[in-house]
Amino acid sequence: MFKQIFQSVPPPYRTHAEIVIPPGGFTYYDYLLVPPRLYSEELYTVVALYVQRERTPFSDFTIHLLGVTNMTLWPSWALRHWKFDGDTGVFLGYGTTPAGFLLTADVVEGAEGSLWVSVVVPTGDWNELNPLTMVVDASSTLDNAKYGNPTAIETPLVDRTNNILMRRWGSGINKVRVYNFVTGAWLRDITLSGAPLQILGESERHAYIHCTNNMFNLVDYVEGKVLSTFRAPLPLTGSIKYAWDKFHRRLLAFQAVADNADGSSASVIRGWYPVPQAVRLTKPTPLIAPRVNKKIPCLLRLIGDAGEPVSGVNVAASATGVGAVTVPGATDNNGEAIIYQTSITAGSTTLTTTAAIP
Amino acid sequence: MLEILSGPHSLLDLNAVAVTDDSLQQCRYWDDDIGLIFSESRTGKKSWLIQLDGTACSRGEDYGVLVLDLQRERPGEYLLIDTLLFNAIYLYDKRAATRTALLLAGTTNSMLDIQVRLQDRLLSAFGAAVKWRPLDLSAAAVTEATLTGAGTGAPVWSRTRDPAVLALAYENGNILYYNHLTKLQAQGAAFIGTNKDAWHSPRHNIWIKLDASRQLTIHAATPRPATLSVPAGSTPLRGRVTTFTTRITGDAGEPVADELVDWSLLAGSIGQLAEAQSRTDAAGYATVDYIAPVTGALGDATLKVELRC
Repeated sequence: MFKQIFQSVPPPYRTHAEIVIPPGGFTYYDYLLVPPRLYSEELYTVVALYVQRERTPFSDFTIHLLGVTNMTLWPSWALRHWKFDGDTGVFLGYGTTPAGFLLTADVVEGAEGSLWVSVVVPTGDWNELNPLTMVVDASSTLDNAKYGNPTAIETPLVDRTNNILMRRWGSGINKVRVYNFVTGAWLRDITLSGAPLQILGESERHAYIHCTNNMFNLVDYVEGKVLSTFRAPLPLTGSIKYAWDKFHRRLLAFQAVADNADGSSASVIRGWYPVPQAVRLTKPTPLIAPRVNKKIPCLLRLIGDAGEPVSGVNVAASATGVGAVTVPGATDNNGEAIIYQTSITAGSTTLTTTAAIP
Repeated sequence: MLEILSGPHSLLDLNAVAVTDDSLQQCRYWDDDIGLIFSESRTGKKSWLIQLDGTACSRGEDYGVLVLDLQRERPGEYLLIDTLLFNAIYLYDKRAATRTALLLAGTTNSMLDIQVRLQDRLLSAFGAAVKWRPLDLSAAAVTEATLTGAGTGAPVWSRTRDPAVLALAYENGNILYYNHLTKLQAQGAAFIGTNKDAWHSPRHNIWIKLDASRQLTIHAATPRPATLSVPAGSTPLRGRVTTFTTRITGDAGEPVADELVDWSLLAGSIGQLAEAQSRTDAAGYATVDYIAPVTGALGDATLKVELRC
């Protein structure tokens, strides 16, 4: 579990009057027009979430959310591009909407901030997307066969700085494959703690990989190592996209949740520093047999929700019964703390331990 | 039996839901850095990390037989044998709970008998026989030692605080020690009670026992004292020092080391003791010197020894 440090406002929906379409045609999703609902669209799926350096009235960063909405008017769906301020989370306006996107489009961010899009119908090929104009660069098509699978490249991460393309092995397989970007030569595979869903470039050689078991792995894809494992901060339900904000070094996520009663969106972008928060202080375990007048070391461990250690936290202890005395401790790099307890007469002692989480 | 320090603790996740398990033996290992690595079956697809009090956190999905690896520089590393066909062995990343590089591939079931990787060979044990194979599996396993006091079946190997000595814990509760450099059984033995698996923690010098009901019990490295023998020594002579000895043993007759015993002379005794307290040695013996009077009347001396638990 991480400490949440950011939250945006929900993306606004349009009313019937705000949707500009040619007159006539069928209506769709009639329930959207039933009071108390006020809006003529609702989020269907999230396509992309990414952060860009862009001056706003509040900061130098914008968060971009691309999603497909169902709407009441023809053609019954729309690709929407919402922009939020990177510091305050306020809605800034709509971004340019790429042309030609279909419902099955997917957009991923490259390690150096480039955007890549795959429109599954008709080709499924990946092309670079100009982040300003949102125009697809037709000359940038990634060669599927070059990267090991003539059918499709699943969930790529393009890192031109290190001349690397990393992609997931395939559906349900707990591995990513790493290739030379230019030549397509296979370099290595990296086994993860789950099957990858999303790959987020973290720095020049590291990436966060979100897996189907809702765990994140931080990998060094140049060395081929998994550096850490932690549980994703949101439950794996509904349409969800994560992004790594390189500017603030925080993890962002947008998860589609049920709309409010009036039809407005209740979904928000949340942000966390990827530092585990403690969720459990284990019970103290004596490390030697308790004896009268003997100073007994008792071991505790402070852990996050993936069992990862939480270090640098003071652990206090108190004891009741048989004249007990305790000495507090602090957690080390393994999350372990040792407190000491001494009893001056035989009998039972109850230890109470607490850790103050900042 | 080794003295119980804590437990039994049920294996419960953070929502207090019990961890179920149909894994093979050896698909789990205690590691001092992270806790108990616990694979919950190929179909369950969960690797748990379990703390000493039974708190379980899901960490990954990999599954396989874990092999103690003494070849890598850092202590506390493991290999993983794929349990589908027992034909591939990988390096294992315990913090990510995943296999990494493929070390060796072989034929089906060719790796059933790998339990420890040493610098120069692979080790396994079944019952009393300790066997070795070359690192490249180019030859069948050959017995290199026969242990005394072994249980049946495959034991669980653990590191000890002596890098040359490994501990073997059998399901019947017997614990033996083996020096992998001299290829001889090492001194010492202990009893931890029937178990599914039991591991030694070199960092904390404790034992962690997993029983058939899927509960963890933490044991000290020393037995719980059960018997304190009557002090024995030669007949005291005037003006001489006589050494008296007592021995503390556990309920299985095993020696209890590092216990403090208090010595005293009952009222009316003549002479004096050189010290009022001593500590048991590795064999469970504690001694005290009785100094008989040089002059004066002869009389009786009654020596009292106490162990305060």
